[in-house]
Amino acid sequence: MNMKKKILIVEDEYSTIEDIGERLKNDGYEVDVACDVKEAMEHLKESEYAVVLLDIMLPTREVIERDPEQAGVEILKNLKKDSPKTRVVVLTAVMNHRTHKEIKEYAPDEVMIKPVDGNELCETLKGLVERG
Amino acid sequence: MERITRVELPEKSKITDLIEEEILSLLLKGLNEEERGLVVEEIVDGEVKRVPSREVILESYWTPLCNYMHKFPLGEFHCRNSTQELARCIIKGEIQPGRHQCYLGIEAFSIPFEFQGEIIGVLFGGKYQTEDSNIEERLESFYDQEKGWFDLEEAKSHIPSIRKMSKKEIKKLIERLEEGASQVMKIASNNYTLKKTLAYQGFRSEIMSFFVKQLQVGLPLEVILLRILEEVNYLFEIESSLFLLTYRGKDATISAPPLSVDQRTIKMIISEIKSGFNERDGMYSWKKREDGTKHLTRIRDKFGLKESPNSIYALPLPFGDEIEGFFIFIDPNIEWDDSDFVGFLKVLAETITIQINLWQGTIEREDFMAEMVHRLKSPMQIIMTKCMTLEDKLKGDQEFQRTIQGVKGGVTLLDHQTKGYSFITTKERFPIIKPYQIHVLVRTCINRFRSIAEIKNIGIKLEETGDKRKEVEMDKSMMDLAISNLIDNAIKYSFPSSFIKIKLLFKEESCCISISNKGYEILDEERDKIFERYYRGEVIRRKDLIPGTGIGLAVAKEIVEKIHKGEVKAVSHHLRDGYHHTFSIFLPYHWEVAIL
Repeated sequence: MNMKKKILIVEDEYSTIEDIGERLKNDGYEVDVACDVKEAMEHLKESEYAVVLLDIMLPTREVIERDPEQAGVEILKNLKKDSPKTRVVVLTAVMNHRTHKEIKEYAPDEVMIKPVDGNELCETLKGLVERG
Repeated sequence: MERITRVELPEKSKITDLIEEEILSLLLKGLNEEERGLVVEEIVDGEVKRVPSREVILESYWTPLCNYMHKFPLGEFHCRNSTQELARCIIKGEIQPGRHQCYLGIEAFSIPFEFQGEIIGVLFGGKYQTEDSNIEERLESFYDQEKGWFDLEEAKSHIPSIRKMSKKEIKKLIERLEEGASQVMKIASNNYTLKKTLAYQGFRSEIMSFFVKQLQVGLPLEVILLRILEEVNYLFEIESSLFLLTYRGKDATISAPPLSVDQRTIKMIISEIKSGFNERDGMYSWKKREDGTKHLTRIRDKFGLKESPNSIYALPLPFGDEIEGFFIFIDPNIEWDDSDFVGFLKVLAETITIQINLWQGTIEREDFMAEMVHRLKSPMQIIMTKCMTLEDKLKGDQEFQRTIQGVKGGVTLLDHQTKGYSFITTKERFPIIKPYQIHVLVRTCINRFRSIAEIKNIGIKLEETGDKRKEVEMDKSMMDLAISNLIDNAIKYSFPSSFIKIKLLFKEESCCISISNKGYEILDEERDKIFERYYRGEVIRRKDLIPGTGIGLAVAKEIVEKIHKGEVKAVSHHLRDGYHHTFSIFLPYHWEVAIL
């Protein structure tokens, strides 16, 4: 498998992970999934991804216990620092002052506000992988 | 800047401020009967003025002998300055109202009009002779002093025309006129109360309108209260006023400059006011002269004032069980007894209380809705992705595909409405501006709505002209909402089995997305109104044809014009086959920083 076709989905909603992951796999992409910050960090340490789909609001275990929003931002921050070539699609339910500030600062490649049509989401991820 | 217009209380310094002159004339006429006329004297700009006017009353009030007496020397009560001089003395308190005799012994009496403890006019009546008036003797005596000056016999011939009254008759007459005068004052007082109520209502409307307008431009409560304070200081020429609010259950305080203090101090001051101040008619006050400086010194220290104030007035702001506070005036230029001014302050406190309560209710509702919208997003996302999986798995099942499209359409519309609602209820905007190929976004929006259009058998055609690779700097999510709103509207208001044409034109400096459909009439006069929030077209509304919230076009316009400095236009033509509407978005390629 070409490493450039590797996608990481970081999302706490299992159903969404399953559906998006399956579609992408069927389309020939390698997909890893993470349900929380810890898992996401482990994946990012082990592999290099072409694209990361990141739900900005995540449940946390250890990293930042009381602030789920900050957890997603923490991943975004690490990605931009450690893997500048990795494309990032941020998925968020709201665009408030804080989200806006963090997103502007760490400049993901795409920001999508929930709910997003499954096909639209997959096409966006695939488009970013193909563009490289 | 929006200002509160000064609302004046009705005047009350003279009787004609309180009662119209024509009405007063009619009332006097009703009282008059046979006592040779009644007049009212009042002071206008320092001069005594007769009401009704001299011309109206002269004929009935004047006796024939008045023509002679007019030239008589001044006596204790004389006719040279007649009732006007008397009225001046009575109003000034120099003489008591009652019965007065002229130089010749002709008697009249005065009844004062009292309003709020002050004499503002005097009613004169009578012009009769008493049993001991002896007018004839006085005339003769005067004739002896001023021989040849007037015709004595001719003057005597007028004496019978002056009515002679017994003591009993005079007493009865005075009683009747006193009762009449009291009725006149009751009417005047009611008039004043009515005018005052209207003035208060006007003031209430001013404050409410001011509050709401400031709220609409998105100012926080503290700033609005501060502006109201500035206005109140200006309107009532008060040095300083401030709000002190404490929330019992919550840890929040609102106080306003120029005397801002912390929450602990506010609580102490409120406690001080409640325990130490004098309370009357729901208003707390303390003045320097009422005791040493105990309370005022404490207030001075707590407010951090340089000197202890001369007086403090505090109006409670009753917010039910949860919040309480005071609207405080420090060193106000008012006296405690000025009940009219206190009335204004009470109206102010009451109106602000209502507005803050309404504001809090709105905030709570908006928070609730925002929370609900937020909570809806995750399940909506699950449905959307699950629909995609099911579409993939059941590709051959046409019926199932239609069902899935229906479900996606429903979620799309719900998402659309919640996003629109979020947009208009959120005061702050956070655009993420990036360059995008807008034709991709337009196609995405069309695809999303295609299944919804198919339900009404409506086709969507897209035409693209120009270099579609050109990128537009925009907030994709917001522009998605704006374009989707126009497509949604076109589908909603199109006749079934029709077409929607979407044209995408790339010009030199901007691109244009126009969406045309055939549908119901939009009246000429509502061409601009349809872009207002919550406005729904007259024809649609009248026929109750299509449900809707009336925010779609307003949201689209705000996104395009406020966020992206573009333009939204609507054009309609009435052709043979119906009304054709085109809604166009003009969007510059380059985004300019907008003031949001």
